[in-house]
Amino acid sequence: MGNAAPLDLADIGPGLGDPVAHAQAVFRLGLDATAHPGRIVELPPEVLPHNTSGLADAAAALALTLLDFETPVWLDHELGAAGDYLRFHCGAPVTADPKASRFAFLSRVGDTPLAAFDLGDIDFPDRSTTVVIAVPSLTSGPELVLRGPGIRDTARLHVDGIGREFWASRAELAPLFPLGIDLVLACGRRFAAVPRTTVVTGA
Amino acid sequence: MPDASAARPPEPTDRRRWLGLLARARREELEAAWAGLAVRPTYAFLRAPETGLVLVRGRAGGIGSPFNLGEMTMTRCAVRPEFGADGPRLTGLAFVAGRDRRHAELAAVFDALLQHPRFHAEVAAALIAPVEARLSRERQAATAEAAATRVDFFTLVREQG
Repeated sequence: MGNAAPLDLADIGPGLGDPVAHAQAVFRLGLDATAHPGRIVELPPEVLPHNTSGLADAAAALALTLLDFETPVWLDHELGAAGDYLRFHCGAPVTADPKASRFAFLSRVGDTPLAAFDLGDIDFPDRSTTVVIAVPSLTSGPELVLRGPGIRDTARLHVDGIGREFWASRAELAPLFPLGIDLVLACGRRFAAVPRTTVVTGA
Repeated sequence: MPDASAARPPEPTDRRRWLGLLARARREELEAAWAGLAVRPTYAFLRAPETGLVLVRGRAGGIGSPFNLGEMTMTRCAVRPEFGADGPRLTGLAFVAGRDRRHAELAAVFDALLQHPRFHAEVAAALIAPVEARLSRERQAATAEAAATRVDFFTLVREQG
């Protein structure tokens, strides 16, 4: 952390306008989304109206809310430019090692398998990587059927940009429970969560 | 962007010096200098003023192993003034002791202005020089006060004999 290159501030945009109130609002959305897998939540208009981070608005707002100096963050190649933004606003160290990250931001799936991230350990399964994936749409694309805690019977979610293989590889992690990866799917100002307990079928 | 105002970046030591002076300036000095500016640019917060704790660390003699001196309250701020479409994109930073958010805000704005060639001379003359002079006077006064109470100890060498 101490030996990171100096930040060039010229291209860094603003963070949360009202850090406490906005972070609380986003945190509440995150709670709602993870407690109700597949439910789509949307940032209020006053949160991060001018996002220049390079991340999707929802992903940036979650980062500003959840990241700090104790949460190493991993960024895929397309999102690498967001590193300075996260270092400045969150103080979060950027790591090149997915296993060492607490949060990971992906512009798409396919390059890095989920199993490459930290699944947590058996004493502290919560110390896993939360993976935030930018998707082109949460309303069109293949329909997913979600089952599991937080869902009465089934929930349905349309997700574009994530292929069948990804969901299959995610399902392979299910037997490792309580270890696993919690997913957040971010599209513009909206996001939905698919925690490790959710069974996804129908893709 | 590269017009006459395209900035030669300030020397790091210059900026370090004025950041320290802005942090030690009085709130009234900053307000007066702000009110006295011929042109007051608008600015947006990159990071609104926020108060927190910092751990102050030291090294004995500047070379010993680091130790934790203690925590202090600090307020920091980052601003991005609006210099127009052709103007430079400058970021002003402030880290000031205490919890005066307005102080941090003004110090950050002046840091940005001091990086701008069009404002540098004006701010340096109206704010930096007077603050530096005041701090120097105060230091001299304190030194003089301490010097007045100084006791010189002489060792009288006993004559042999």
